[in-house]
Amino acid sequence: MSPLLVIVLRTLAGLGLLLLNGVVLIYMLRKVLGHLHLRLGPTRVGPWGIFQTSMDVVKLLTKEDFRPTASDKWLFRIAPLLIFVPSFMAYLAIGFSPTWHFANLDTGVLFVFAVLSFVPIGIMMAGWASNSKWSLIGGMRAAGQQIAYEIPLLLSVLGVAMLAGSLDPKVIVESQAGLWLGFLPKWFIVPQFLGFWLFAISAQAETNQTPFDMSEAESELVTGFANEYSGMRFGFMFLAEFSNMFVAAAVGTTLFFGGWLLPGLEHNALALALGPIIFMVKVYLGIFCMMWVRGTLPRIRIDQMLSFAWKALIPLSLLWVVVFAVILKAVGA
Amino acid sequence: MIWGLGFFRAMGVTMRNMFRPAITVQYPDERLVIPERARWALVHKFDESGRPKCTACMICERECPDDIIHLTVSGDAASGKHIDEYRYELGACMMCGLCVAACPFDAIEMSHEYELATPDPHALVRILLHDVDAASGKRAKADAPATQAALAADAAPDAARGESDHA
Amino acid sequence: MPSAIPALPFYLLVTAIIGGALMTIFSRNVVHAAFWLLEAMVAVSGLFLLLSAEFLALVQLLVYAGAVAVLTLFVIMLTLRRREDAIRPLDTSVAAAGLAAVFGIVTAIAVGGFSPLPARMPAAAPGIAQFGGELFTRWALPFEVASVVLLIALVGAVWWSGEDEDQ
Repeated sequence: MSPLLVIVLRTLAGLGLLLLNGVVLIYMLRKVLGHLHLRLGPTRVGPWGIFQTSMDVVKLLTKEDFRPTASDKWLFRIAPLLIFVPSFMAYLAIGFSPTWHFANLDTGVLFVFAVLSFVPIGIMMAGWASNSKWSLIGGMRAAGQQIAYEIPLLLSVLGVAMLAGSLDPKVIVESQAGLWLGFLPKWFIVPQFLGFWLFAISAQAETNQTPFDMSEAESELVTGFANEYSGMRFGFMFLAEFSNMFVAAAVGTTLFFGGWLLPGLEHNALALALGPIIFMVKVYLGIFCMMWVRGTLPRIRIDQMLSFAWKALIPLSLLWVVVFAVILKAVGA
Repeated sequence: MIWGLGFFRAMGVTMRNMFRPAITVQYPDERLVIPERARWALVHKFDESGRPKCTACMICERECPDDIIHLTVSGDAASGKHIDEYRYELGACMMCGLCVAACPFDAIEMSHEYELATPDPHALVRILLHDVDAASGKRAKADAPATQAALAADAAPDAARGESDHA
Repeated sequence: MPSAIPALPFYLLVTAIIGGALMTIFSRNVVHAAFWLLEAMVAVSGLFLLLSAEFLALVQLLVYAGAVAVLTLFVIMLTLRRREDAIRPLDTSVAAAGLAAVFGIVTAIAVGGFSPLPARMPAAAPGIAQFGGELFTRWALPFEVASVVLLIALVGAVWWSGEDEDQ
C-alpha cells in the first residue's frame, strides 16, 4: 500500500472510532446516569433504547443550521471546527496495542495535551461569536478553567514521565510490564497514586465533566457556549466533548493502568491479539468512573473551582513532582 | 472526620443505586394507582334509572371560584326545571372540589379521569348535561337523611386520617 | 533527516505566519486580532515541526496557543465593557503616527541587520533528552535569568492589581 493510502485509511479509522465512540458513549452516559439516579435512561427506541443516540444523530443532521444575525459570522463558523478537530487529532497519539496505533509519536502524551489545549479556545471563540451573554460567560469560564487545570494535569504526567523516561505511549506502557512483589501489577498507579488523583481531577475538569462543567452549566447558563448553535454544528461540539472524555480515559489508562497489558498476559501472540480489547475495556471502565463521578457530585461554583486549582492542586502537584524526583533519585542511587 | 470522605460516601450511595431497581413508572405501559380521594375532571352522578341527580339549584355555579360552571336552565321550580346545558370548562378548572363539597344533593363528584391532555382546545369545554329534566328538589329532600348519613360516613375516615397524620 | 525542508509546506506556513501577523495588526476588532495572533503562533509551531523539532512544536502549541492566547483572549474579553468596544477607532493623531514610524524604523533596522543562518541542516534532530541536557547545563544561566524575569513580571502584576483593591 502506498503511504498516502495508509494515512487516509488510518484517518478514516480514527474518524470512525470517534463517531462510534460518540454514539456509544452518549447512550452509555444516559444509561449510567439513569441507573445511578434510580431511573432507567432511554428505553423506547429499539430494544433497551439502544438506537436512541443514532436517532439523535439523524435529528441533528436534519436540523436547520441556524446562525443568529448579530453573531460574529466567521468566528461562529470556525468555532465548532476548532473544538472538534483537536479532539480528533488527539486520537493520533493513542496506542491500542504494540502494533495498533494511528501514528508513532515520540512525544505522544505531550501531543495529546497540546492539541486538547485548543478546545477551550474553540469554546471561547464560540462563546464570543454567539453574541449572547450566556455563551460569553461559558466561554470565559472555559478559559479560566483551562489555564488553571492544565498545570496540574501536565505536572501529574511528569511523575510518570520520570518513571518511564519517555513521553512515548508505547514506551510508557511497556515499562509497566511485570509484577511487583509477585502479585501487584507493575502499573504506575502504585508509585504514582497521588499523581493519578491529580490527573483524574484535572482531567475531569479539562474535559468539562460535571463537577467542573462550568462552561456548559445547564441550570445556570442554559448550555453555555453551545447556546446559539444548532444542527450539526452543535453536534460537532457535543461529539467533541465525548471524544475528549475517551481521550482522557485512554491517556489515563496508558499512563497509570498499563495500557494494553494485563498481568500474566504479556509479550506473547495472545497478548498481542487481545491488546486492543484489553485497552478498550480499561478505557471504558475509566469512562464509567468519570460518569459515576458525574452522576454523583453536584456542580461546584466557578470561584470554588478556580481557588481549588490554584490553592490546592497546583501547589500539591508541584510538591509531588519535587518529592517524587527526590525519592526516585534516592531509590535509584 | 477526614476531609474528602464525603466524596467516597456519595460515590457509594450512587453505586448502590446502580443495583437497585429503578423507581421510574413507564407511564403509558404502567400506571400508578390513583389515591381514592384524588380530584380530577368533574362528572355528574346518575340515579338507578339513569337520570342525573342534579336539581339545577345553581349552587355549584355560584360556588365555583374560577367561574367555569355555567348552567342554562328553563322552567321553574313549580313546573319542574329543565337543564338545557351544564357547561364545564375543564381547561380552566383547578380541581379544587368546592362544587362537590357545596352540592346539597350529592349530584356531582370529582372523577379519577386524569388523562386530560388533548390537542383540541374545544375538548377542554365539556357539556356535561344537555337537554334533560332536572331532578326534583322534593325527591332529594326525601333522600336528605340518606345524604346526611353519607356525608357523616365521608367525614369519619377523614377524621381518622387526620389523627393518624399527627401520630 | 533530509538536507533541506520541503518547499511547499514551508511557504504555506510562512504565508500563514506573516499573514496572521499582519492581520493581527490590521484587524480593527481586538478579539479578531487575538485570534489572528493565535493563528500565527500555531503556524510557527508548524515550522518547528517541519524542522523535526517535535518537542519544541508541542511546547509552542501548549504554551502559546494553550496558555498565552487563552490568557490574552481572557483579558480582552474581561476588560471590554461593551461588545462594541472590541472594534477600535482608527487613530490618526500625530503621536500615533510617530509611534508607528519609530516601530517601522526599529523593524527595518532589525530586519536589515539580520544575516541568515547558514542553510545547513544538522545530521540528526536532537532528542528531548539532548535538548534538556543542553538547556540545563550550557544554557542554564540564560534559562534561570528568563525565569527570574518572568517571576518579576508576575510579582509586579500581582502588586499592580493589588493596588486597585485597596482604594
